[in-house]
Amino acid sequence: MQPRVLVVDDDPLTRRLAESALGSHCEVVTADDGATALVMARRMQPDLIISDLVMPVLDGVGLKHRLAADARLAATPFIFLTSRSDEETRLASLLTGADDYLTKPVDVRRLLRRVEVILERARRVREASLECFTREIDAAFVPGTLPCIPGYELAIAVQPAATGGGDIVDVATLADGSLLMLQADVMGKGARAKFFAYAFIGYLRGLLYGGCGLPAAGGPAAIMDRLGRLYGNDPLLQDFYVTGALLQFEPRRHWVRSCCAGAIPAFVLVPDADGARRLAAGGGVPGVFEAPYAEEACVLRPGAALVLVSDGVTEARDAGGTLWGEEGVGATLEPLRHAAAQTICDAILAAAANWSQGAATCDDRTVVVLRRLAGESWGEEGKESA
Amino acid sequence: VKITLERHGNADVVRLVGPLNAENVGRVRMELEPVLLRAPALVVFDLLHVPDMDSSGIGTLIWALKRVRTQGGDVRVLHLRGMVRRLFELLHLERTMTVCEEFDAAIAPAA
Repeated sequence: MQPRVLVVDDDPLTRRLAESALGSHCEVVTADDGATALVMARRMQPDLIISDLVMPVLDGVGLKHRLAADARLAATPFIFLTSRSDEETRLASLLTGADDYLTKPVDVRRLLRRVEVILERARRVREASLECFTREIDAAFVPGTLPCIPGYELAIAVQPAATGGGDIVDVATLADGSLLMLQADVMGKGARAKFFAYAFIGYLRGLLYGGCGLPAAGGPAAIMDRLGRLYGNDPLLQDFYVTGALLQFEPRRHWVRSCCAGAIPAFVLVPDADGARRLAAGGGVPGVFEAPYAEEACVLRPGAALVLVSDGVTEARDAGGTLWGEEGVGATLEPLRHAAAQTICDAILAAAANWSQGAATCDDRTVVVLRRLAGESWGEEGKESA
Repeated sequence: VKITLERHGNADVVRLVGPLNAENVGRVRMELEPVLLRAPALVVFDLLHVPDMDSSGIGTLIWALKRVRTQGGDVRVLHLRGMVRRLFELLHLERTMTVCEEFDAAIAPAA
């Protein structure tokens, strides 16, 4: 997308010249005084403002001060373009925090170069601060310490995207001793998607621990119903949506209840059978899916493994653009029926990377494996089995 | 992606050509904004020539759906193909948005 530049000048000739000089590189919009420019800037959030100094209604210095007082516009790059060439005015103008001060008549190539340099610098600053923000928030999306479950292995592996994906893994121990595992993917990328993901986890934890004025949640389908209603109606969170699989695991009975809300259905691998059972019951995207969610249950027999993958894994593409798909995951799992949980995680990520020939991932790749150790038989076995 | 907007009776038809993804959804949303501001009765997304869509693309359709429904209108999708159809099935979106195969059915007023 082209950068958007707001040119402010009461002289129509200067506005036309700026449009002509910058038009092939930027989307140029114009205003003929500072007050109009302020209204436009608030509405369109330009990437750069180029302003005259002396104008009716609100002059250039006044405009810069008003922008500086607006948190959403204070950091917008700003260039003065004026016929006032005295050093005193120049210094006083730059003291407002402007990025540059150019005098008319300006050489078009010089103006273009200054615009390029300032936009590039602003882009780098923005990226650096976003990277710092997303690094911190990413660390909160994957549990640092996994719960120790007697007779089980739990492993999580994440390969972050080059451009900031939105995978979330959350593991919470409930009051009844069961474990709730969420593997979710925010639709969209970048810092706003990260914020949404963080808010989503907040809603989930609020529900689990009896917050938000609601009673503590029931099973995965009931939790997904409530999550959808809560954040689907939150006006701050209208632009982003999340898909996910929510599983409740009762270690004593080896019982797993699963609700899949638009995510890749979990794979259940057992040591002595071909293929994998899929836990597909659930529904659509929370917040827009209006029917009640469904859930299904299975019991993990000794040696069985529950495998969750995010769509960043199945959407790995080879050089020709062919998707690796759920079939690729299934085929990779076949020889891993007796493998340890961490080995399964690593093997799936390695196979996805191999499929995409090591190309940078454009979405997070996450694998979660819960595996019951072979020969473990303590606890009460459930009635169904996988 | 290229976007073309047409009016057919009460329906605003949005034809997209090319993949809809994180790279272009910002522009698509900007171009849709004037349509959504008119509180349209019906918005039809024709996806015949959309070979590929990522989660940001789906997010944009859902964003439009929520905006239109909030104002009392509806959204339909026309001509789901290949990978985009699979994505709709995976997300159960066919239970949220009406999916049409025929243009006339897509722009017909609700019964």
